[in-house]
Amino acid sequence: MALTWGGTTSGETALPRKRSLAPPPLLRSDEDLVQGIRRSSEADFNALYERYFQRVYSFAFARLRNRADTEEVVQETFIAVLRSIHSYRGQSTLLCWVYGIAKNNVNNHLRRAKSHELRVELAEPGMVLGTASLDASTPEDQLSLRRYQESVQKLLSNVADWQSEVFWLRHAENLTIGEIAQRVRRSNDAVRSSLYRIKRMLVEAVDPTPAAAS
Amino acid sequence: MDDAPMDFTTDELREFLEADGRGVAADPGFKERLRRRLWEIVRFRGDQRVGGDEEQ
Repeated sequence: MALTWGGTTSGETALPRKRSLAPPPLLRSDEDLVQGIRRSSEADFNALYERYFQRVYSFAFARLRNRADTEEVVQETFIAVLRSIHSYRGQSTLLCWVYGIAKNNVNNHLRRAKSHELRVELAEPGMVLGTASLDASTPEDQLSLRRYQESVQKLLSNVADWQSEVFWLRHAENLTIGEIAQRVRRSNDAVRSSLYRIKRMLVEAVDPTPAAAS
Repeated sequence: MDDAPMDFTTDELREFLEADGRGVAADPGFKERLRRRLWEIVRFRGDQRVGGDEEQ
């Protein structure tokens, strides 16, 4: 449905309206668009969205190199802009303001991803054992390892197929988070969360005391 | 959110400004879904403010 300048839809039977002297939304200044959005003008909102969407998207993608993460940041950026547009005082240009928010969101996203990855890596030793340790262990160790592997398989049967796949891709095929995300078509954060969740479940399965799970 | 000047260089800002016609294209479905969601936010906040003004 096409939109008219006034923000109503073209399919309506509208009363004759006075001709507006304002320029089309796409030619209006950022400040005018902000004023229009404050008055809930859909045309002004669309114009601002069109003006900034590709800038924010390209900027985020250049740093994150992943569509799912980029979409998350683009969404966070526009929501932040629109939620605070009523308090925008014009101390900096809208361009600088939107850019500042986008940059902040990208940096926060990278920080979160790094810290999450670090937590997953730290949780690894002693929790997930490779086949090499099976060769090197004593018969008692092998038995306990086999039991552990059985409990891992039982536990993985309780999670979604894609989460189980994530676990094996990480620990059997040794793929990176990014490679796994592409393979299972999920975001990096979703892959990290999934790995973290399974590892917590493993810790709890091996030692179900509250201290072990914390 | 404070809109005071932030910490970045003019080169960074130019890169952002010129990203209009280049870079990777977004999924049109995502762009449209986000547009609708954001418009709901704008409309909801507008309604809230109108309601708030009427109550005063």
